[in-house]
Amino acid sequence: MRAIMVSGLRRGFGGKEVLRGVDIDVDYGVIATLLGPNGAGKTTLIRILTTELMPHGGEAYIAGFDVVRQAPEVRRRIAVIPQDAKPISYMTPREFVYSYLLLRGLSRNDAKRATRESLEELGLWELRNTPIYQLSGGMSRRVLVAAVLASNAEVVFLDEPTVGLDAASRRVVWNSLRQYSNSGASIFLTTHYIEEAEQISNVVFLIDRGLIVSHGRPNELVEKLPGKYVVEYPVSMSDGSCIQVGSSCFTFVNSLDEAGNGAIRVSPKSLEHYVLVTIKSWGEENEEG
Amino acid sequence: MRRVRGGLRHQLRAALVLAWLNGLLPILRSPLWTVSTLAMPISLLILLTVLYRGIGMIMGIVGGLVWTMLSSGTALIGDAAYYRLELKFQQLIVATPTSPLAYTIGLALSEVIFTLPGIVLFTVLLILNAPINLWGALEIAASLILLWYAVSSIAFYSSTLFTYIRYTWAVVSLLTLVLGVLPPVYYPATYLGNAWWVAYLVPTSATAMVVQGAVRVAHYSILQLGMAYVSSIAWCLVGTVLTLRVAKWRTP
Repeated sequence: MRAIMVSGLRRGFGGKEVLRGVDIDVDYGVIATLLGPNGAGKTTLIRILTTELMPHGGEAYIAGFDVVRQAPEVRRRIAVIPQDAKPISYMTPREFVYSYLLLRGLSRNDAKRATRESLEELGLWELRNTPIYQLSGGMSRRVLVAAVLASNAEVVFLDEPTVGLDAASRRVVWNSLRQYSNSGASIFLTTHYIEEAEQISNVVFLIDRGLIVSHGRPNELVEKLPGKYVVEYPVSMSDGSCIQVGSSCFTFVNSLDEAGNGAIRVSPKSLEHYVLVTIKSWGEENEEG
Repeated sequence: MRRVRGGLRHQLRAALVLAWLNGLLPILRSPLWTVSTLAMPISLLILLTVLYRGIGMIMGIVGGLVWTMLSSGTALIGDAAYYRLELKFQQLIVATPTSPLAYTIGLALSEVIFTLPGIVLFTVLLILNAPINLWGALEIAASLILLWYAVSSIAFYSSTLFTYIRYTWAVVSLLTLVLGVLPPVYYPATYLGNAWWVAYLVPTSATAMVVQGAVRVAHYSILQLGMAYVSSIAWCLVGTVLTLRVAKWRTP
């Protein structure tokens, strides 16, 4: 049995189809990342998988339970941080995490113990009695992460969990996520940060215009690119043989000597380059914006 | 993985947890919030007492009780919308065994706790200043509970209609005017002459009729009071139907 099984999932809003037949499989003990530009369907997919939104077609199973027909069973086994979620600001981190765990159905003793462990893990124990409104944005985001990771849910969904976090805070969260998945649970997260996907994911799914366009381990995806380096040129300098991404052109080469005049950047190929050349609309979005 | 509960016992506990976190905790953190909700009914009480002495004071106390119950409903609109639209707290709770009904009841209870100091204040004033027998006290309690149920359920339904939190502010002010000041809450329904039946059109004035009758500050016939109860129960049924329509975690 897999943690997440999605097949041909569809969902529209008005006349627009946001998910056009998504297929995803995620095993237990894995951090899976969904990468994609704005409007690609990331949040819609999470809302369906967390039983908040009805799909219009296809199937989705979480921990072996159908998200449509067995929603209560699914809800017992998952935890989610929705996009742009914030903790209740007049509460303290301890109160917030503790009450969330009670709402999840944990006993008071379990909830107290898990609250302490999670706050310590996320570096919030010293601030446990400080009202959340006195914490920085990054700290209050960590309170949410502490709450869902304390839940000990089988599958955790995080919709852009590290938005607004500084580099140090992000690493604290990454470490906690790794530790959580090592316990056998699955984490499914969306992010805009390609570096984040590369650093913590066991598997990456690229979504574009409602379809999964590629997936695999981060290093496997990078290896799909030719050569070792990426040479970036302005489009105006290109001879037409490069891959155009927004206003830039990418050429993949094996040696730095192959970088010609006019190159504005030369760097080792990375997941970012794979994402940029795979998700065409990302380039288009950059062009517009 | 830890064992997670989801039965009736959990739902009751979840409602109490929500009542604690949204009702008791804010009062303990900042009692000023409670005082601020009492500002308007106390102002009206003082005004009526100064203008009309004894009978004005009783009317002000009865109106204050009804107003306080009403404010627990209107506060629910703001809180439920805030949790859904701004904090995404409701979405956080969707992925738990807590049912939407327990969530709704918990929020409604929290608003009662929040307004409890006001209810206690006006109740004490009523006991000190108006003749109430046991039957009258039961009538007052029953009508206020019906009012709380009706306004809370309708408020929760209303909160789901908003897509932007700031819109709730304007609606709450308008509702306070339409339900708390315009109908016969601070004055007897008989002042409306032949149009006294208008009091049945909103739950607040139907409740005010019962309370005014119980403390004998206005005289209503048995039929009129009976109709006030029918109106209150009808509003409760309307609220139940509306709430059951929207108290679902999943968006279709």
